[in-house]
Amino acid sequence: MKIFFASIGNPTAFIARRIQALKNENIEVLVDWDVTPPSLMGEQILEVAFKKPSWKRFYHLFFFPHFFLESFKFLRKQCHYSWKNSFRKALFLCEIARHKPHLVHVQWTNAARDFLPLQTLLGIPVLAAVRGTQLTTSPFISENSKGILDQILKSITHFQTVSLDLKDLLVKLGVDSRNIIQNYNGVNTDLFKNFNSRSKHIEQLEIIMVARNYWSKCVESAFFMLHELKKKQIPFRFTWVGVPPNDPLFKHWMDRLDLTNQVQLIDRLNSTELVQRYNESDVILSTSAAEGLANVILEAMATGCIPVVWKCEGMNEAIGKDGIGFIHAFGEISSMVSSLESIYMNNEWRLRSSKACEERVVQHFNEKIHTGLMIQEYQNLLKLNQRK
Amino acid sequence: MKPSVWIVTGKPSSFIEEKIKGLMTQNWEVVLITPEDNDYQHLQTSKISKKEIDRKKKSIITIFWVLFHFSWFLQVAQFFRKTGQHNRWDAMKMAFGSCVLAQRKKPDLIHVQWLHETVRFAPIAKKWNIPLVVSVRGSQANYYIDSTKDGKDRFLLNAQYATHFHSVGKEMAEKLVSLGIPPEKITVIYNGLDRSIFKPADSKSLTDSPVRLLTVGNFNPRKNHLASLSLMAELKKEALNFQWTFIGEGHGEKRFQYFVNLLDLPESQVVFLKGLTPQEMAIQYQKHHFLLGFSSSEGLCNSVLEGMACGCIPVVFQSTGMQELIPTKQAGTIIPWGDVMEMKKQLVEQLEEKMDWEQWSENAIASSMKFPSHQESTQDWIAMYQHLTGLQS
Repeated sequence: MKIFFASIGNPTAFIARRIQALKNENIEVLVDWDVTPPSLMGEQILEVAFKKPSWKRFYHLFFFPHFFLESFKFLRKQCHYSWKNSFRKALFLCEIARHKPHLVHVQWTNAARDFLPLQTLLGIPVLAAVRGTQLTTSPFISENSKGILDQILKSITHFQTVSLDLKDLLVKLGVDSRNIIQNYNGVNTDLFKNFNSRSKHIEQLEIIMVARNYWSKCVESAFFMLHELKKKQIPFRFTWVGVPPNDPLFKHWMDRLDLTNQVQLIDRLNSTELVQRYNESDVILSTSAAEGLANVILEAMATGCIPVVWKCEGMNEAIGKDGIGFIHAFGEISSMVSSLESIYMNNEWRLRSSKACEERVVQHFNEKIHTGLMIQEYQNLLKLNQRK
Repeated sequence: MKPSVWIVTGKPSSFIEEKIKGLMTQNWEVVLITPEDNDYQHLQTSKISKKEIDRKKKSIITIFWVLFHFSWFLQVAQFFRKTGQHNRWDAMKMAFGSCVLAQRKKPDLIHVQWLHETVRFAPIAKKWNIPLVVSVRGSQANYYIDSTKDGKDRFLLNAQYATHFHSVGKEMAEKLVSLGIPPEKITVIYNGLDRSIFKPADSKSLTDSPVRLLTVGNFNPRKNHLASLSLMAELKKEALNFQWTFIGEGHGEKRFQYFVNLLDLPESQVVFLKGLTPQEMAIQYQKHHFLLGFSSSEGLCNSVLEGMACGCIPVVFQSTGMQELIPTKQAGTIIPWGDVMEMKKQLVEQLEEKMDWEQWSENAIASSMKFPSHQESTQDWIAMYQHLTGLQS
């Protein structure tokens, strides 16, 4: 089997691990990425990256002149790309066609329409991954994104979602549920695990948040909440991973809300450092308004952090209903503060819940299991395509 | 000969428009330098937009003008290179812009409405030896200065080329002094209030249900709309019967609406309005019980003043100018900045205790009356201009 992983950009660690896992299963992988992930350096992976200059793939068009012409027309008319861009993309499609992949798995929903000619003209199934914002926030705030999504929903036949919530959303938008593969990213539980047993008594609550300063993450709300927590005299330390330590805006916020001594800003951490941080934390906090299924929440839970989050896509699946964490109505500060207070006050519950979080991730979100399931889905899809 | 002033404006605003009209009726010749071609189109005054300046940079006349004044052109380009961290090419383009303006008739004074443009007009003011007045309104002195990487440096750089400062409030003036601006270089002139428009409604009572809340301000991070979102969630949790109107626009509008949708409130409970005229704004202030403000960047918040004049009681986060607007406790409530839960507590307490809403509303109206009208404020502007130019009426 040969699979083309399209539009990966700068691959996240779990995508890199997915690709590695596919290779281990003797599945040939073609990739279109901007950067080779360090873990896959030196691996036999065929790169057909779009960033490659057009003159280097110019000759491919002679093998598929008709396909090139039709793709070009499609990209111009249906996707409204410029002449130059349509030409480059059509050449790119010719190169992919020459490699004869059995399946195209587009990792970025909106990019899926660029690969439609492979499906319509050459019969190569295109599977579009739906990971979050492109289905949730983007179509709401941008007419252009909404138009692209509508086009994709009409023309792409198969989707892969990273959570059941996203699957439900797709079904609501009119996609046949039989055409949706639900597959979690999963967590690398060999890496994300608890290696220190947590202390029975804590002097202060260690809270961690891992998020970029992106609008839908509502990070400012976390500061309002922390201010309230401080007013309640709950001792805590808050570590926010994802923002430069000297970011003037948030320094200003910390100063105004009198949180300078409690808050630590950290720009980036590699996986090993992040695991270390999670292990030192009691709580993983999320004020995000939109997710597919928050990987950071699962990774933190795998190390024993208790999630305290606002409700959004995937949170019910990640945290479950066994009371091992807290999912609050979006925007509510008081409930979050109460949850943090109860975690701080109730040591036994905290330890029990921490253990339950670890177990939940191992049982339900083991990356190896979900990669295996995805391979099965690939095979099913190919069989289905052959029958057609 | 008529005295003349160049007013460098930002986006069109009603209070600046009132000042311009006032100056024109007082026989001042006003030249507006606006961002867009069609800003303040209905005003019968001479205008040049920044877009037009860009177009004229490439004209033959400008090129000849530059040839004849080449040494000045070089000085200006060098000045922009030093002051703005611009590359050589950008500095030259800016110097060309100065040359376009320098071809015009010399005014008696230049008044820049937004501090960050001071440097751009400094070479011309220096060439003609005329005062360069700059208005300090809010965000530049109490938001960007602290929350951006080089905010303070840029503020001080621009400030050093202004010959005089117009502050929109006393608290703002104090802030300027704390930043090293000599007090004698600062004149406090309030924006003024159009009392013919912003006046109380005939009757309104807190027994009217639901409680009507209003927030005015564009959807940008400075206005902290996320705080209003959490407050909304908390009020919903308290099962308070409220209706909330947001008036504003901006790039964050759709994003904010996305968040509001997540709260799952009935559609009629949260209303979004934009592009209202002052008369329509007044109707909104009159209709609502409380004006909620979350901003961190005000100088002296116009919407709070206008709302109070219409009898709408402000409940706001602390920011510059709020103490001036709400001097007495029962004319409104000032909450420590960012304390959402305190705002909720105050609102709920006031409602549960069946506060004497009419009395508070009266107090708010009385407080607003202490601020000058548009006409008085315009007179103060003219007095400042006359003082600076040495001209007498």
